[in-house]
Amino acid sequence: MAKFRLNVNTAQAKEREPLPFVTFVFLLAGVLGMLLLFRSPAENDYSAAVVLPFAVILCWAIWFTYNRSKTAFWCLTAASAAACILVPLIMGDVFSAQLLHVIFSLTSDNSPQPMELTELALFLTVILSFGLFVMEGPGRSHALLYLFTTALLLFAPIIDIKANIETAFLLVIFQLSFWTIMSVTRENKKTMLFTKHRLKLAGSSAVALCLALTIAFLAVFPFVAANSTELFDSVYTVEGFIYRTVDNMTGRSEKLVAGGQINNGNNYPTGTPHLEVTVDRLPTESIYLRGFSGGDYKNGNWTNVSDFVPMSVYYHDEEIFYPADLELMLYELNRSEEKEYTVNIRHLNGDYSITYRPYFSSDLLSYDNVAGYYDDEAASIYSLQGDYEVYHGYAEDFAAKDVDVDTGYSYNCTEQKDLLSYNKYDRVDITELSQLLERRRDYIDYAKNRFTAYPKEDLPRLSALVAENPLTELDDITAFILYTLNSNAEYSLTPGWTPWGKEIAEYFLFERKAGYCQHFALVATLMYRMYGVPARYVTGYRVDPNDFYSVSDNEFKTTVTDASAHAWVEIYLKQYGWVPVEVTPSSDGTASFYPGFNGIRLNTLWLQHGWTGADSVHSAAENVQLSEQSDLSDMLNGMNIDLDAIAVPLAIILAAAFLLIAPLFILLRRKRKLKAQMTEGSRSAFYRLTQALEFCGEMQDSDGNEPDFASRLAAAVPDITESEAAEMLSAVSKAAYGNSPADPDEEKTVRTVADRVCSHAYQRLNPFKKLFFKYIKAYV
Amino acid sequence: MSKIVLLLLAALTYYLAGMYLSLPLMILGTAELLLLIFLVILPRYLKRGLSVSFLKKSETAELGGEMRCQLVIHNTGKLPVSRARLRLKLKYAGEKKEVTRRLYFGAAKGDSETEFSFRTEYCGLIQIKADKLRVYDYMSLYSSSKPLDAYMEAAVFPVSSPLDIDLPAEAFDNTGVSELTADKTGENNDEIRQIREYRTGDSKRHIHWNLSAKTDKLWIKEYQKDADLTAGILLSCGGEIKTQQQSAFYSLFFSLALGLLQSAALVKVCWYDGGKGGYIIDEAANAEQLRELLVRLYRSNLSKADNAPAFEYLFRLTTDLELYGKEKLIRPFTAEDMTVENQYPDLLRRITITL
Repeated sequence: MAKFRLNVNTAQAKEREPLPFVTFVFLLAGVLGMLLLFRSPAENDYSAAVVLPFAVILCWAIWFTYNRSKTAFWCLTAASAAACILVPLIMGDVFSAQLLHVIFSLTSDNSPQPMELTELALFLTVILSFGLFVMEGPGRSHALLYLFTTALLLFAPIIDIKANIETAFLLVIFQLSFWTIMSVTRENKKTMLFTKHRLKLAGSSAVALCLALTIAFLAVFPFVAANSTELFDSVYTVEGFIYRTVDNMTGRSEKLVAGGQINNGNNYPTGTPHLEVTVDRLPTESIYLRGFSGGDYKNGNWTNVSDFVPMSVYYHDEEIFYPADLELMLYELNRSEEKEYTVNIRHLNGDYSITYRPYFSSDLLSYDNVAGYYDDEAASIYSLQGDYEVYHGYAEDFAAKDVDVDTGYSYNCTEQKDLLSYNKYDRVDITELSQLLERRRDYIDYAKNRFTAYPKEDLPRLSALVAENPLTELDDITAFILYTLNSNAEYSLTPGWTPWGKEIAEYFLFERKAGYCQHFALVATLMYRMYGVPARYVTGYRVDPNDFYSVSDNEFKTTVTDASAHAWVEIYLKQYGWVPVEVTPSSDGTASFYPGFNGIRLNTLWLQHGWTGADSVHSAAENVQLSEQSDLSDMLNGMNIDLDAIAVPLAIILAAAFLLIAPLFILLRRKRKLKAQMTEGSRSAFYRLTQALEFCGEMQDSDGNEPDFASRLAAAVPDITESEAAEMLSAVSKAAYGNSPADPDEEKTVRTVADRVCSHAYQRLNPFKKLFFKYIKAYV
Repeated sequence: MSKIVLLLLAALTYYLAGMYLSLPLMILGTAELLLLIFLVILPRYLKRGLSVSFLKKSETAELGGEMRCQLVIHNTGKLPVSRARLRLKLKYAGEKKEVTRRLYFGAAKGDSETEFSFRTEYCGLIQIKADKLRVYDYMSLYSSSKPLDAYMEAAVFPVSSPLDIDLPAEAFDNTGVSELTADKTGENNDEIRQIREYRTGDSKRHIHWNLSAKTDKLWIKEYQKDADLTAGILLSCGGEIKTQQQSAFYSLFFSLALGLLQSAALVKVCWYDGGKGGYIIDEAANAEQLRELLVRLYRSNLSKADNAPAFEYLFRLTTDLELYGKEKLIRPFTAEDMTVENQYPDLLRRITITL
């Protein structure tokens, strides 16, 4: 059967066609897009009147010289390269300062003061213009550039760089236009029919595509602007569906909630039942089931603090002291004997490694038995229950080991409104009372020290806001915190992601201005601490009283799902111990405040202080930014120490980037070259053959034209016979001087011989030369 | 793959726009999704204005040479076509199986010409059909195809290599050569039309030895052919044959006929056409006419005959490559011998056929 090897190579196909004018326009779009992106952060400024015309002229010069004269093009390239090396050397101080500014603005949580970066922008223009041109032109690496520019666009919001619409448009024009040009010009030479003005066709196709893109942008712009909320919600709907599906499939949705990690994304409850709560009397207030209390805060994460951990350090006579004991004793002094009710909690997933405790409660088991005693050697808590010694585990595992999975665990509780407004000291004997008062004093001292700490350096704007509004009274502080939160942030389960490196509390309050319970509780906790009020961030469940249904006259039940998972603040009050403060505006206000503080009091204080707007937050934020900026400015001006500090990490980063990218480039280049070699013509393959021989030091005195070349080649390379070498030479000669188009079989013969010579040459090289031969020359 | 990556990037853009509340990214992501829809539709529009045809409906080439096929691309649409793929189906006449080849091209508005070629391997008639056109969008992500009906034929002729045939007078009575006499074989000096220099392929029998000896150069005697001299060849088919065998058969026939035309004024050829259900008698007086005859032979369905022809012939050539002279086997040939790679003209040049 005939093979019909089609040949599409014609003499005309080898003619060089100039790059059409539109390639200059598309190149310019890419350069301008990146320059605009560079300028997107407010702190990066440059003289657009200088930089942008310079970019236009340079891109045009590159395009023009490349088309007209290769010599002129290489002269321009050399001159630009020289300028890129010499100018930074001559103007080292300026470039260093500008570079440091950019690095600082990228790595710092806080925005530095705007700085004029014209010199750096001009430098960047030269690099970008030549880099993009070379990669798109001779380098033919559009895929890499496409991914790079896409990564720039997509990575920008992650690091809080807000790319504008012009930037996005220009970069996409650059991406798609060169994609089209590449798809036309990068066709397999074996199967691409030659037609005249191929590049012109590629250019006109790219123009058509860009016109379509422009129309798409113009059509989409008003639609998106008018329906942005719905469009953003559509993203959340899809993400929520995926999250819920994954959570349900992996069983993560059943995991109980108790942790100090502030979620920097959206919240998608699945509705999975977590707890079954049973009460013997219908409550009127929300029941806050505390599962986690936050101690120290850093970068969106609270460390756990357990009241079941003994605290001998803070007790002067070195007796073991449990903060939980103190709380139980305080409850004993405030509980209402008549209105006490029982709460039973059952974990539906059977996991009792975390236990939840309502406020103003005591265990059903007697205090003495539950508190047990601390065994130093075993580092565990034990208690006596009847005749048995019960192991309670350590710290938060306290209740886990002795809970009946089927019945759960129970507490006696009193609702906040039913607590006694005074401490009923006669419930405790005088010895215990004395001890209690002493312990309370000690714990308050401890709490005032421990639970008022916050990372000031990470929270400059919030600190400034508090500093601008000095308050001492707890009610005033609470009112101000609630006013700040309510007037500046709205409740949303889908506030989106917090940009990378951003302090989540400040981002929530000053920038995004939307979030859910975790964010509200986080800011409120930090503000309380800033005012010196002991406060802890708490997570657990908030059970709404309306969710209970009646099982019998004295049994009411509710199933608590992950939708009831909640975060709130607890502050320490001398009379009651830790009490919850609801700061999330979505709550219905049934149990929002600590004893003695209610909605009426709140409104009174708001009116009294005139807290009716949101201006205070803005002014604080702006002031902080300015002060930070001046600090940075001073730092940059006096740069001596910082240069040394940043130079080494910078060099390491650059070296690491180079080490990562360079092998990738080399591998890709090698792959491309090897692929090209599989279809290369006879002359090209013969050139490779002679180069390989020369590189390995064989037949150095030969240039391939000698009459005895075939016999010498056969003698030098054992894998090649003289007849093969002669056949190869004949094919090369025909390709060089013949009139007929190259025969594919003959080309294949030459390639095969060249491959064998290259393999032979490779074997003869030393290891270093082998690497060079394989990866730089890409001959094997 | 590219379209999946692009779709994922557009979706990622849209997603990140939502997560970081970026209006520009949301516009970009939505515009990219819209553009993808446009790209799906674009090939369907582009293909409407695009067609391809062959510039010449028939082409010829010598065996082993390049067959050039010129194409005309018509783009009557308002937009350029950055990339399109043409599906070609090629086969030798008589073969059942087609070889499919695909070629890519771009088309500006209006008409443009291009060409492809291939090296001919066998003699015969190559039928080239461009039956499908696939048009791509500007990013080569989506495509749409349409049927085409462009067709051309390419006749591949054997290399011009006449057999050296020695025809003694007594051999021809009533055996397919009319009025052939001994003096017409070149023995009669009066019939010499001219003496010229020896050229490759000339019969050694016609070398003017005396003159050659005198001048130390080979000279050939050219004889005046008789207008009524006719030689008959019967082509008989032994059954279905492969392309290579068929090619060898055509080459051998062509050389035989050319050899006869050096002596005879006319060569008459007879074969059984299975398609028409009868014997075909054709004739050629020179190489050009012989090529035309060959094309007719290529087109016909040379088949095994049930009955004997009413045709007087001197030579009979079978598709098994057996050459008979006056029904006596002169020499069998093989398909391998009759290939260009094996330099079959040199082989034939070394053979002298004597009846």
